[in-house]
Parts: sequence; C-alpha cells; structure tokens
Amino acid sequence: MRRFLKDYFVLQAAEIKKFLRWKERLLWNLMGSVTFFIAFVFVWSAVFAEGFGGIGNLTRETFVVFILSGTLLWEVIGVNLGPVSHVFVREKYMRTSLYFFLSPASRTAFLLAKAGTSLMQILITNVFLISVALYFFDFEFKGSLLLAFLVFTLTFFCFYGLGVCIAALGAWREGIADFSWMFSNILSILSGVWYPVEIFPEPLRSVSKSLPTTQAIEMLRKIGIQGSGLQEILPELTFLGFLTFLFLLLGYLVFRAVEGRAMLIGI
Amino acid sequence: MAYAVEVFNVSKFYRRRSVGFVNGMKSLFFPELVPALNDVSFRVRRGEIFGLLGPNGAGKTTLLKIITGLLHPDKGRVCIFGEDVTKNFSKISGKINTVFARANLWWELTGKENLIVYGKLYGVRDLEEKVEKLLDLFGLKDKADTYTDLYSTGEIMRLSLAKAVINDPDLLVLDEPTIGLDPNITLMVREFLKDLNKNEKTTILLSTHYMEEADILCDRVAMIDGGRIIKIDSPENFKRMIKKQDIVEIRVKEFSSRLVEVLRSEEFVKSAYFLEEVGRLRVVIDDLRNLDRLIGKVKKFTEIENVLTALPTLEDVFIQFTGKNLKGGEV
Repeated sequence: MRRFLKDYFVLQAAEIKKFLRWKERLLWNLMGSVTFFIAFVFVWSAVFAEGFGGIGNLTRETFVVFILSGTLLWEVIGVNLGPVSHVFVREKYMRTSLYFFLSPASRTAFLLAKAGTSLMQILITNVFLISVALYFFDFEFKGSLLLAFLVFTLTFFCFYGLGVCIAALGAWREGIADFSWMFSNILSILSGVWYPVEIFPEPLRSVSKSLPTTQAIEMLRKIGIQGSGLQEILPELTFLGFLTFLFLLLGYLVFRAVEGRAMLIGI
Repeated sequence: MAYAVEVFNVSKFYRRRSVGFVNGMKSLFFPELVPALNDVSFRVRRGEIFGLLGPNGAGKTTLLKIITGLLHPDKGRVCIFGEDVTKNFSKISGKINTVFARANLWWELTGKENLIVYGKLYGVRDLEEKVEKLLDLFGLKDKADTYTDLYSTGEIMRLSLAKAVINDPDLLVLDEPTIGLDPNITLMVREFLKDLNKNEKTTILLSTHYMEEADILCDRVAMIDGGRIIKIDSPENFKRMIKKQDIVEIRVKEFSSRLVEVLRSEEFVKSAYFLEEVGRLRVVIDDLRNLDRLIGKVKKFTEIENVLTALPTLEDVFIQFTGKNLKGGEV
C-alpha cells in the first residue's frame, strides 16, 4: 500500500506537469463550457420572454439552475469520454508507456493519476462556470451541496471507467478522436444537457431516460431545483452507484486484458 | 547464480495482417502466423556484454522485448537472475533497465523531470544528486530544463541512457543503442557502456546491426537471422574462423552490380559485396594467389584505383554463415 501511494503521488505530480505543458487547453475547455452555458441561458430567456410556460424542471424561475446543472455535469462526462481517452491512446501511440510498463511502478497508480488530472481540469472549469453564473445571473440552488458533490463524484468515476474502456480498445489516435467526439455528441443531444428531454418524441424519450447521463443530470436538477434529499433520489443514486462500480471494474479489466493481449501480440 | 539471462527454447509468432477489406477480414479470422523467433536458446553470464547481431527483421527487438517481459513467448521461457520473467516480473523489474530504439520518454516533461520521475518510480536514494551527476555525465546539463520533444536524436538517446542507469541496474538491456546517432555520440555511448560494465560490473545485453559495435563492445556475440540463433562465440573466435581465407578491398572508379554478380560466380570467390560507405568492393577469396585473377576480372568492368588486403570482420563471418550481409541483402 505504501509503495502504491508513493507511485500514485509521483505519477500524479508528473501528470499535472504534463497537463500544464499546454495550459491553453484549460482555457479552451473553460471557454467552451461558459459559451454553451451563456448561449443557452440567452436562448431560454428569449423563449420565456415570449410567454413560454415551461416543461418539467425548466421554468422561468429555474432555467438558470437547469442549464447550469446540465453544463456542470456534462463537463464531468465530456472530459472523460474525450480528452481522457486521447491521453491514454497518445501514450500508446507515442510509445511513452513502454518504459513505464518496464518499471516496477503500479499500473493502478498510473490509471488513478490520469483520473486525478482529469478531475483537476473538471474542478477548475466548473468552479469558473459557477463563478460566472453567480456573477451574472440570479439563481438559487435549493438542495444539499454535499449530495450534489456525491452525484458529481459518482458520475466522474462512472464515465472515467467508460473512457478507459474506449481508450484501451482504441488502437490509433485518429480513430479514438473521431469515435469519442461522435459518441459524446450523440450522448449530449440525447441527455438533455441544455434542454428538457420532454421535448423528444416518446420513443426517443424512453431511450434518453434510460441513459446514465440523463439520469445523473436529472438527479442534479432534482437536488438543485426541487431541493430533493437523499430519500427522494435514492433509487437513481443507487443505480448510478451500480453503474460506477460496473464501468470502473470494466475499465480496469479491459485495461489489464488489453495489456495482456499487447504482451502476446505486441503493442 | 552464474547467469544473468537464460533463454530456453523461445519461439514467437506474429499474425500477419492483410490490407484491404476482404483480405483484412480474412486475416482477422484466419490469421497467417509468421515466425519471429524460432526455438531460441542462450545464456548470458553475469558481468558480460552480450550482443545480438543481425540484420533488420532478424528478431532482435522481439527477443529483447520477451527478455524484458514486455512480450510473452508463445513457447519456451526466459529467466533473469533465476526468476521466470513472465511469472515473476515484479521480482526483477527493479534490477533491470532498458533502452528501446522506438520507445520514448515523456515528451511533455523536461529531461530532468523525466529522470526524477523514473528515479522515484525505481525508488532511487539521493535522487537529486544522482540526477545532477547523470546530466553532467551525459552532457545534458544545459538541456536539463528543456522539454524532451525539443531534444535532438542524440540527446534523446543520451537521456534514455541516463534513465536506463538511474537505478544502477544489474542488467541493462539495449535495443540498437547507437542507431541514427552522430559518430562522436556513438563513440561516447560505446565508451560509457564499456566503463559501466568494467566499473559497475553491470551485465549488458544489446542488439545491433553494426558489426563494429558488436566487435568493440561485446565479450560474446549471438548471430541471429530469420528468428534463429546461427552461432554464439566471442568476436575473436568468430574472426579466427575465416582467417584461413583472404580478404581484399578494391577501390573502383565505377561500381556495377553486374561486376559483383560475375565475381560471385567465380569458384575462388567466397563472397563479394560493395561497401557503399567507403566506395570499395570487399571480396573474400580462398587464396591470395588468386589475386591476379580477381584483378583481371574487375578490370574488365572498370578502372581500379587501389587494392588493399583487409582483416576479417564480424560481417564477413555473418556472410559466411548466412549468405547475407548485415543490411539483409544477399551476398
């Protein structure tokens, strides 16, 4: 355990340094999130100004929290499906992982250090996004911040596991970039990040409701808009917890299986 | 334990992938297995420099990957310091280190940061001091705080070597350590390896297709071709094997491949090939008394500028055993 922790802290510091080599990545990511948030706030304020009555949790009083919750959680999902996958494939593609795998360092520490960097990126973007929202708009987050943080954490690890799966199975950088871009775009459309899924036709709504992304976003909206507590969101939270366990386990197993396969047929 | 590395009957097959949709799908489900290594066995003694000499595609890198535990063999096994590499890699990973020609250090980190990270992962004590010493030794002090993607090929190789000795390994595995390097850096690397072996008693296992590298550095050499070990011996013993023949180098005004073909067809010529880097024909003949005949044959094609007798090299030995030179061409 001591050895694992030591490796983790060494690799975490290295990963943060590697990330900060191109600090502008953080800026573009930040700008992307803020732009989408502000754009959709303007769109929905125009819609409400024309007399629209609202759907579900999206009302004249709550639309800022509605869009903010979606954008914050989408940051957690999007970073894991896109950049995290790219980071792993780049290590394979650039053959930088070869020396690491020949060292006595822990592979699990390697995976966790990459997760830590992704978490850092998400936290910076989301803190900035919340600051922008607080400065420019009036809104009230009704529920428990601790519960919201729990939803964030579970969603993060759930999609980190999925990101590792995609990265481990992807053989080349361009293929992964195209696939994860398309996959995350489809998910963002279907999950109601910036609009309520109730606007979808019935068959598509059923698909949307069954997605873990939609469930996580709706859970956060329930907490922020309706002030729901643990009791009210327990079924969805349990399901998300189960998916987190499943995807993390799957991510780890796929990573180790691909590592084993690489040892048989070469990287 | 007298042996640092023991390779027992190792075989490895690769799947050949075909291009195009139909052939690609066919090769996915019915792969053609290509032997990369075929029943390879040898032992490397503790404290020796052991070389794998062979042309590109001979199986040297695959063999080194199997020895370092990066690839698993399809048949056979490898032991390092008595431990099975496939089963007990964690027991020996701290005692070995490597340089692979096609591997990279983390290029988003500086040279110094790379050494510090690897030093910590290998659990090196007095790391700061050691890193400074290595940067100094490899002439990288000025580049210590430069990102490694801005390094030249020679600087990357020197940094990779610094990384490879950061944990004072008992076994150092090097895959083509001087490929693509300037002559002065090549010399520096070879000197360093000799000193390391002499002073620290580090066992060094290296692959190369440069015969002079194997000749200068290695205590013993395994000649490898087509995934098989052809013969293992010391460079001196290898060269003694062809001492009975005579080697002539002829500088010609114009080179023609037809001339080489004609010479090879002569019964007194054992091998003939053109040394592009020095612009000479190198011919192994059975007896120096046939020199006049040889010169007569050459003169029919081109003017001769000078004729020298030469000492045998490992390349001559390799040609004798395989019929190929170290660039893989038929001789």
